[in-house]
Amino acid sequence: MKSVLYVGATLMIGASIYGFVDYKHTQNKKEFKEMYTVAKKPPAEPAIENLPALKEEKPAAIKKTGISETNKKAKASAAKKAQKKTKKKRVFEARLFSRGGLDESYIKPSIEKTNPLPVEAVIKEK
Amino acid sequence: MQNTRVITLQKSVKVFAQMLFWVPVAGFSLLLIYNTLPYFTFYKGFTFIRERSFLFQSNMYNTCFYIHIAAGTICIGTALVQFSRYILKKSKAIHRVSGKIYVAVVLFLGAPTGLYMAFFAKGSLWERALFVFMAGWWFITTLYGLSTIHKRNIVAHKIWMMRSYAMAMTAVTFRVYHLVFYIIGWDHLENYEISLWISVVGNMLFAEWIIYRQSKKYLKSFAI
Repeated sequence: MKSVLYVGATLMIGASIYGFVDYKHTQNKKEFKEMYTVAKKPPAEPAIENLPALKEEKPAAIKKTGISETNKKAKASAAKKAQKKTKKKRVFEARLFSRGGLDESYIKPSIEKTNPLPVEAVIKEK
Repeated sequence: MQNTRVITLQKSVKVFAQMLFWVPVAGFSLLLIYNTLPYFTFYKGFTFIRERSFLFQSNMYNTCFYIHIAAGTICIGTALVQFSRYILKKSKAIHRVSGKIYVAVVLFLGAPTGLYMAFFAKGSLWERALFVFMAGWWFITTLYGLSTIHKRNIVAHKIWMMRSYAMAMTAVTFRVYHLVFYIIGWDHLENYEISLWISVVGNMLFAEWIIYRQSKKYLKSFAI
């Protein structure tokens, strides 16, 4: 019993001293300070230029028919729709049952990365 | 006749209440274990690791992290068996073996590595202090649980082990609150901090409440 206590206590004291010293070393580092702050990116701009109806308009025709205003409105509504699409409803997922940051900026790329490669690609790599 | 019916009803209500507690506990514990296993592929793309990519450059932190998650998985797995009266009645050996594994893993692996990692935890200084306290309290309660059973004091052993398990289960309850608050739509940093405090304080209070209830029953048993 005593040996368990001594070994455990030594480990705990060692961990606390080492942890504290390590923390003091890294405390003032820029990377450490910025580690947990999520860089809030602005919502992704919708690719309005790629919308077929808007792209095909010519400037001369716009001046004549006054479509420029309707074009702006269409652009704004398209942007709003795209923003709504990017804000997905949060639902329960078993994989989110973790200590990792539950924030879209972290979660989304992880889905892409954790998707396994197709079997053919793995075989080709080998 | 009516009396036996009442007793049967009381028993079934008791069993139902126990199921209501243990089924989610076991379910979420197994989910935690299931979600932890992929970390042992040592893939660095997990959210938790990417978030702390700077810390994972250190060999010490890396080693502590993998030891800690292995220890946590074993602890939560073995502790599920420990509170079953059925298993204790059927075979004390299972209780003893898994208990020894739990204690050894907490005292030598889980708590020390947790203590080291606590200094770099997410949140403010208060959250780091809370993690330090958690590691220390987990160690102390488990050590007391061990020493009391060595002295054959079963009542005290139960109490200290409940406190130890409450600390171990903060890993599970934290994830539950974290996920619930995420679904509600809370910001991730405040969600993390609040979930952490609720899980630690809530688990401690819950354990104390159960201990209080059981001690009341225990004291009543002496009444003439």
